[in-house]
Amino acid sequence: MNATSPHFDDERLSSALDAPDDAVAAHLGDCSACRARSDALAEASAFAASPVAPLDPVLLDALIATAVAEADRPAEGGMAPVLEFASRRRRRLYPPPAWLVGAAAALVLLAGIASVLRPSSSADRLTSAVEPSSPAANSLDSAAGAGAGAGDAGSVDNYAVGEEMVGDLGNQADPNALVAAIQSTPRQYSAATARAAGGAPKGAAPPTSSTTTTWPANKPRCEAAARAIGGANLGALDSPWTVRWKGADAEVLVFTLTKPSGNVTKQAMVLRRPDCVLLADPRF
Amino acid sequence: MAAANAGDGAALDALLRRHADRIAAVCRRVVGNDADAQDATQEALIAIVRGLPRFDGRAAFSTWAFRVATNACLDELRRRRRRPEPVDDDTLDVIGHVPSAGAIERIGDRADIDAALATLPVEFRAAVVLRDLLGFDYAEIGQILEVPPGTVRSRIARGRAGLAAVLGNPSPDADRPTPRT
Repeated sequence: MNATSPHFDDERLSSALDAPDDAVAAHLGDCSACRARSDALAEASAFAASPVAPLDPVLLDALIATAVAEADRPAEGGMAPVLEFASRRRRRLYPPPAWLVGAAAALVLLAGIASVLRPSSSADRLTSAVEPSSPAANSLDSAAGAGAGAGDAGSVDNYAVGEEMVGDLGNQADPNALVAAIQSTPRQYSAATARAAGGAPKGAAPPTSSTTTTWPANKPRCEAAARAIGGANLGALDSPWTVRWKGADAEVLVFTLTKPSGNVTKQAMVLRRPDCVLLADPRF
Repeated sequence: MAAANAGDGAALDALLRRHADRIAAVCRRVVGNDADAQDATQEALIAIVRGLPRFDGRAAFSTWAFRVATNACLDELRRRRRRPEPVDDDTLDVIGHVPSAGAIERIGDRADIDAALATLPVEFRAAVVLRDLLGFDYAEIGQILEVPPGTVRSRIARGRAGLAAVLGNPSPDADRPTPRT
């Protein structure tokens, strides 16, 4: 009710349903239009109050048990904030178990010993992933050369002999950009290998930019750590990739994640190599 | 709650159990289907557990818990919007959708509360659900949705008006003007 209308507006009539309003109550006795509108809003309110079927007790128990189990986990999950790598170094979000640290140290030691016993270039290691002397190998040789030229060769020393070369996910601080980079990784790899299989001559340009090419991690080292962090909801490991991200060697593991409803989504985990500290865990 | 916060699993279980059904109900009504509501409820319960150490006691626990839960539901809606879904003529859009006259007729016929709520912008829907389904007062809803009580009042009124239209009672703008203020 105002200077231009003899009636109360919806907001006033609606709020009068929730708290006593003497002016509205008095007006409704005399105004059939407002009374009808008030009744319509009351009907809508009652409609919105339609009860919801309670959750199945078994499902409820499962939901609560899963949530309670979260209390034992050391840090937040879900779409974790993507922090600058420097701050990740200072704040260790997911300390790996002691046995994992020991195993990682042993692997590094083995890598060092093996590299002494069998010296090889990063290109040698790359070609071990494909058929020797095949056109694909030639093309991948080129990619390895480009990667070495970009200064990645030194990082390979962290890994065991025969392990794949790394690519680069860039420096995305935006989780959505990181997800996009992760999602495009298999496509880039497929395109690169397809071009390579097409018979690129030795010495030809690399299949794709050395800053974006990624290669499959045949032997993911951080899967156990990822599963320890992700819990029982993590399903099959779809695609492991070894990459560089924000200048650090890292492993991208993409898991199938089945939600309580049965909906399936993807949980990616970017873990720093070789200590498997979680850097980001975008879901998509 | 102190015991739950101190790591007592049984206390935490009891605390969640006390609110889980109502959290599931609000998620069910806000996201509009069972499957997504279960996911949202799970996310909400986990978010409560993770956020418990940061609960400062300035609001009632239930108010804080429902703020966390409502945010989880809204996150679930945002995720769903990013997922490609098959187009179904009978399925109304989730957020901010103005239904066609035919759609309204079908909704009215079957009194489908989910479809009716889906016609409302999500901020109206959440306010109406918190008020009419769960019985929170305007001040509590304001804390949950982090908006002033005046905004809550407006959202509830507009949400109810939207539902009234779906139920066949459109706003009588000709003979009963409804000024916005």
